Amino acid sequence: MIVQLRFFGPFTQYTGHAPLAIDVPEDARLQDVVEYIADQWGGVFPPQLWDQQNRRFQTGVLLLLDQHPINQEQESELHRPLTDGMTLMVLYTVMGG
Amino acid sequence: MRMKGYMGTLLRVNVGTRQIIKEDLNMQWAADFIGGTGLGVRIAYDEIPPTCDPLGPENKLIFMTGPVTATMLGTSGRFQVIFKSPLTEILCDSSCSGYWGVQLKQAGYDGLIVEGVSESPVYLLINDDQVELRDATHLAGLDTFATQERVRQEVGDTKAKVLSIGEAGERQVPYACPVNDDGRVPGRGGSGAVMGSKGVKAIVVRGQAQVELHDPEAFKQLALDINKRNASNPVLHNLRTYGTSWSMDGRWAISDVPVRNWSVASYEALCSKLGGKSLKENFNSKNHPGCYRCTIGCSKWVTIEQEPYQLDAPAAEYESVAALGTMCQVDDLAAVSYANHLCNLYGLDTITCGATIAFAMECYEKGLLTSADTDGLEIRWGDKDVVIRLVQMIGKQEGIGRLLGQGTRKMAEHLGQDALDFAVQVKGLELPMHDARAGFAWASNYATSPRGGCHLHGMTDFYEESEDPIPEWGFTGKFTRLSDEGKAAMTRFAQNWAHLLDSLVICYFSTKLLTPSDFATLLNLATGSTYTAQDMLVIGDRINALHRAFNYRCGIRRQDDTLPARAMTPLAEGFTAGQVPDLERQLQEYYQIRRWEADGKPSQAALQDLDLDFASNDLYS
Repeated sequence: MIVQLRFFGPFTQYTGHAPLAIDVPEDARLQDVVEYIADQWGGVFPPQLWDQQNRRFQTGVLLLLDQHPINQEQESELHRPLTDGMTLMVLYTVMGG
Repeated sequence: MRMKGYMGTLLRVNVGTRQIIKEDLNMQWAADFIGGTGLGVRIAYDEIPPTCDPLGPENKLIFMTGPVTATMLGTSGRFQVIFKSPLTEILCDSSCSGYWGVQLKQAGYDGLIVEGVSESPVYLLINDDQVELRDATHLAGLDTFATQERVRQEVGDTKAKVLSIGEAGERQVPYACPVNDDGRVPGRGGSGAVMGSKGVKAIVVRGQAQVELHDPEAFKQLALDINKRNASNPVLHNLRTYGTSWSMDGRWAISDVPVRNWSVASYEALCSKLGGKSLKENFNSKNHPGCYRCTIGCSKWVTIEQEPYQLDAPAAEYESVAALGTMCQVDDLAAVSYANHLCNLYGLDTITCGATIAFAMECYEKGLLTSADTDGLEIRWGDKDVVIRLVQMIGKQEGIGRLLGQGTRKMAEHLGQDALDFAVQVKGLELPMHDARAGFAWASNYATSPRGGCHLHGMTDFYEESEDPIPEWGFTGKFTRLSDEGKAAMTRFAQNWAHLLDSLVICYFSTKLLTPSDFATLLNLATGSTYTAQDMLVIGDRINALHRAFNYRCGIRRQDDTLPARAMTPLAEGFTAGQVPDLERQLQEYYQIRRWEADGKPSQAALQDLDLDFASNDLYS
């Protein structure tokens, strides 16, 4: 099945602006997509955004799965099952100006 | 004894009597309030009668720098202006970037107090210790950019820094602001109207002095370290690449870009047309000449050739794009940029201006305003040319522009019915372009912010998705944005942080990576003091309490610490669908933390513990 990945803000420097469609197994869970991200870009994301040792995003990075916020701290969140066509957004923003 | 870091002198100019006085800076006040906003609030507390007419002779404009202004620290070129606001009728402090503050300090002054009312237009020329008032009758009606050029020619100095009002300030529009350095503004609260009321068209500064520091070498090393931290930060790098409006490119996903006067969840199709990526790709945005010693470079410059919106001018920042764009449902970035530029030329706060136009569009839709009120102008959502026309009418105070020039609160009071429910302001100041439904701490923050609905007196959003944000202050824990847990405390810490930045005076964007110890060390190296991280928290509390005490004397009470109905109405769609913060819970906790009485007055004990006995005597005698 296909899951859409969308990056915003500083992540686009490393991944590009365009949405990415990735093919994952039918029984894939959110953790599998995070692992995919780790394999693809874990080595190039800066430490302010990515915890290289634990292969996860730093606190402050927002993960939205079909617009629902994901709490990386909770294992159950990362074990959410995925369905075809879901979108994972990864963003870090500042405000004001 | 004079502390290093300060010039030791305040310049006081009465434009009515033409008296010009140089006074010693009160060093005890400097130690207690640092500089900038802190010192300005302390001076205002003694000098501005809380019940005075903001546009009358008793109000004052207090321009303040800080102890690190004009040093080699990145973003240390800012200044603050403190005054009683004609828009909110409470004490306002507003921050401005560029180079003007640097020149004021290098001319030898920590601050400038402008008082009185001139019978005819003047401009103030400060050239080191030479200070004079000059006739400005011939500058009447000039826009802010033209005034800058004209005055520079007159004084024969192309590098002179000019802070000037445009037509909106001359006409005393309550949210008029002055402009310096090509579009840098202390935008909020109407300091430009106060300048206009005093007959001051411009303040021109030029200075040559250097700021003496207590330990220049150690200060230099710390400043370099901070500059390096900022330069290597990927988030700040993104600001440098796309400007502040890149926020729009992502924040729509969390419904934090207000659309259609806060009534609709933000959506990508609109925001992506107006965001920083669009700005760069469609208009090839360049770096703005910007601000003194800035290592971030968030501000952009655009050249637009698309008729009829041609311009070669500063790009609109995020707040301006949202206020003049998404709030009015306008999706043409060229038109929004043009409207923003007009605001700069007239000298108008883009947030209040855009929010007021959006409010007028909703009033028109609901029939509270009709074409009979607008001389036939149909004020409909999404009409970019109507937005531009209304900015012109507000700036020139023509037709319906006179009503819109009063801001949303007074407009709503004039129009009646339920208009106040969707006039999205707190204490008369229109909310900035961030939604309390998308970051719950905004609720108590907006409701209690010292100058009214404001995001710069506590950037709680920095901490909404964080863990142990400021351990040195005991600000620990994990936070998520759609929760009320811990948000009152977050508001207090964020407000104190803002008071420190505005007192040092440095830019918010440069401080996300700093700690209270960094602030204390900067101050100690600059001034020779012995502040600790904990002292920084206390000074923040002190500034907040004194500002509140001033506002209490203006009549602000518990019922004023609130949000309008629209801001607390759940959105139907998007990230925040169906959710709103629990404002009452946050306020109860906040009042306990700040030790305020039930009516909103800082408690006697709190004031005395913060060495504000004089305020305690005023409020409790």
